[in-house]
Amino acid sequence: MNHPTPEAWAEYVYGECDAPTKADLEAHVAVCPACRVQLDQFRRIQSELTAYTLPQIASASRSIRLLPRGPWLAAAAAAGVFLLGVATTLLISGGQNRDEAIQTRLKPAIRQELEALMASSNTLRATPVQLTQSDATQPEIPSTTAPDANEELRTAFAEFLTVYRNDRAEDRAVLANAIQQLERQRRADYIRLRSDLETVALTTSDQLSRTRSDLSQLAVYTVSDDRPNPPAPKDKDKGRP
Amino acid sequence: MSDGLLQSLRNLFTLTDEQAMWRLQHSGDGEAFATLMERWRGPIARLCTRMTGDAHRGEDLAQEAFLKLYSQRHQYRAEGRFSSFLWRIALNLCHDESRRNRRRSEVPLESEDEDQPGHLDLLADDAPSASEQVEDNERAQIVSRALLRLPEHYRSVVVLKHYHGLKLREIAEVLGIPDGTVKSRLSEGLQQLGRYLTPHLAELGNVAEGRGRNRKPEELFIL
Repeated sequence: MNHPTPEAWAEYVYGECDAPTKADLEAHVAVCPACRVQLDQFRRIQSELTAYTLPQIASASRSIRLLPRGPWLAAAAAAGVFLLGVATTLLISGGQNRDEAIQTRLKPAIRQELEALMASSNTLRATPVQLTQSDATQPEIPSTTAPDANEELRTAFAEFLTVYRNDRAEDRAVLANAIQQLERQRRADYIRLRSDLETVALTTSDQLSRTRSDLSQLAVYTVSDDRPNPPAPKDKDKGRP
Repeated sequence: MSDGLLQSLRNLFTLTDEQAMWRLQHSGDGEAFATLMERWRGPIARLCTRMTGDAHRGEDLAQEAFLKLYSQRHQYRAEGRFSSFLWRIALNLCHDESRRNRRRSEVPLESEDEDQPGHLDLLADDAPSASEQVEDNERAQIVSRALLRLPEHYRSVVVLKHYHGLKLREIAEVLGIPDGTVKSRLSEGLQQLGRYLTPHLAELGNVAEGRGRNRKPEELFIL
């Protein structure tokens, strides 16, 4: 009879042999008293070894409880998740097409705003002009007394009016130009703002991942510094009164 | 917050050993090192305790193993298991320690006094009565001495297999030897243990033997 090797029995008692080998060994031990003795000896040694236990050394059980430690940690985790959500929304919505849609929607608003600005600057410019007009009409009053002077004044006034109108047309052209320039400027600003926002979103997600690792580390520290931690707040409380 | 959410959050925040080791390697990340230490300090300290037969020395060696892990972090290759790397470091330290001990003293380890320190406080206090506890202490001391009598290359295989539940293949990876050698060392180690334990434990009586046999080894595996 071919007896299995002690190696095979060692493998067997530690459940490391495959199913067919296991079946063979069990069939053999059922009919072979010598191998039964060998197997029993290995099993006995196994149970004796098991009697040599050591106390659980600190960390093994603690490391499992990595995250939920007190309500503040859960709150911090929730805040982290919320921030993550915000960052994701920002990143997802930051597409080019949405960018353009916002631009077209903003365009009339910018134009309106600039037109209002132009109107107010027009009135500002108009006021001194009106003043000069009234200044010009003042000398017209004595002109009624002298018809020649009146005629002269009228031509002068007409002349003044054409010059004034030309001036205004010029002003208007300059203003329209300025408005267009401003509009371009604003659009550029807007685009820069968008890209800045995107950068912020990216930095935030970066920061988030770092915070995440900080949080996990914090959890580890909270767990390992279990004992030294509680006395600290007490000392503070004592110090206050 | 539901338990499921907490669980998924926890998974989100948990690094694998290999990930942590990668971070330690590439950026000297202290947090990753703390995580690894938190996870592995217990198992490594127990391994060193069983290899040296002394709880305090075991703790010191575990500490030293983590120092070595940090200084040798660039030697770790990502294709290997982190645990194998760490077990190997710890076993090498235990080996150096026992060599130093042999040189320091002519007295072999197994002939130390019966009441050597470090053993009485090692024992789990789950024994129901004082006399049984004393008996358990004695059994544990006998087993501890039996392990120390084993040549080191048998002892490391038996300890990794029995107390840390490593597969034979994993032990081969840790020790850098073929699977077949691990098998023969395990069986030879068990047989040598049997030769020492059988007469010594016979003195303790049949009652204790019966209780010891009823215990399930799985409950005490630590990993």
